[in-house]
Amino acid sequence: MNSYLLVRINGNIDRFLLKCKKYKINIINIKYESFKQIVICINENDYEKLSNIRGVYKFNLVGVKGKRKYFNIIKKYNMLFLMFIFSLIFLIFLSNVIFDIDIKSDNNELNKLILKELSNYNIDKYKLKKSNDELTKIINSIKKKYKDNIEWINIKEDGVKYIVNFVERKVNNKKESNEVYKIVSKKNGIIRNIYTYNGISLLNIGDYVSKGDILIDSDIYLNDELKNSVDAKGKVYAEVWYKVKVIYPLNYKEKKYTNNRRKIPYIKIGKNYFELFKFKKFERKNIINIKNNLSLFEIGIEEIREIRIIDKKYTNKEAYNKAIKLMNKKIKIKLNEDEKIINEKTLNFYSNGSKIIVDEFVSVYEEIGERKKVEKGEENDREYTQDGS
Amino acid sequence: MKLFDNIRGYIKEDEFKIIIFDNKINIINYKDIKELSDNKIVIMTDKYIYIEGKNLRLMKLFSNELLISGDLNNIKINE
Repeated sequence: MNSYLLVRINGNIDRFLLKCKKYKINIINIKYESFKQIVICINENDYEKLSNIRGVYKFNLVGVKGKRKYFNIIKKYNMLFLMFIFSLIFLIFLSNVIFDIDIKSDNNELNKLILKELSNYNIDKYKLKKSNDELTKIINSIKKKYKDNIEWINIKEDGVKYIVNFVERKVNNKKESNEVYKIVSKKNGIIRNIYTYNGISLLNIGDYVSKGDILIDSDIYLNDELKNSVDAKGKVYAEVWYKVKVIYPLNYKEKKYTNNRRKIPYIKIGKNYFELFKFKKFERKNIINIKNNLSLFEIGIEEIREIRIIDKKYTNKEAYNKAIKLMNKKIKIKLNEDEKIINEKTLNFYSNGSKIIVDEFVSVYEEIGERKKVEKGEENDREYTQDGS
Repeated sequence: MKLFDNIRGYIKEDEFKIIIFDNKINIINYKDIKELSDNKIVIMTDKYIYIEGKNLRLMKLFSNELLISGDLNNIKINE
């Protein structure tokens, strides 16, 4: 990039231009201000040749263009540029420092062990972050070292924080024991299916059982004489009933996050944010910031995430349908794959100001058996009836 | 040999040219300016070129190229 000078000339312009030709001065542009005054744009190297032109001319340097112009700006605002470059370097440096390590596990002993191991690899608070390749190597070596304690481990970078997730290896220490269990009912209901794998089933399909009744017994009798005690195993399915009360709002407001998100630099003065880019409605999450509490000035990087507000008003019927759907969903979450809702009926439905209230009767096909340990001596004292009560 | 001359001319561009636009005249590969005024500019190549008009002004001045603006009336070429 060359440097160009803008020079104002006063005098006989035509004669001056002819002399420029004679002294081989290239004029890139000529701007006529009056018949005796022009501003010419010349190469920086040609400026000295102007002084060779004899005559009554006045030369005034009025401006610079090109490389020299930028040099002059940098020279004039050198402190500002230095501060900006220093801030940028400092910001980049800060964004590469670990400020926190968060381990997502409840096992404190293992957490301490992993923290110590990470610090051996120089992953600690206020130390520099590692590259992805280094992290992968560290993860692999920790996995190898603690293969008896850890099933899986991952270190994720989240801003200036490292999040460590791991799955603890569960060692199966269960020992064979002589403990005997029976299967008892945990709810009232009518028996619909019985699958006995071990033990003696005391019920028939269609029988009514109450909570606590024995469903599959561990004791095997022959002619009223106890022959053996086994660990009762099996599944008993019954129709059970629930009375559910669902309250659903008539006015529905939801804040929904879209997939639009961006990491942008910002400047905050007082309570006002100045940023290059904004969504119409968004939430901000601070990633890095440098602030001075005295001057109320803050600079940093934040993540903005676009949100959409859904504001709906339902009629009573719409709200009722939604309430039933919600109730079904909530019940189904609690049920296993082999369990289901058999029937449901609305007992009562009324609106109360900004909400509706639905009283629903639901009958569900579900497993009601639970294992209960048989205490020693208990089996000899027990009396049985055919309906299990 | 004419082919070589054509190629050399294309690369070196040492031929004299006048390109006339609406209110501008571009002159390439001239030798000298003999006269310069508001109404008349005389350019020297192998021949003399007289440019006549009103408010004739030089906009660019290079050792081999000129750009003249103004209301052009007449161009004459003399041996």
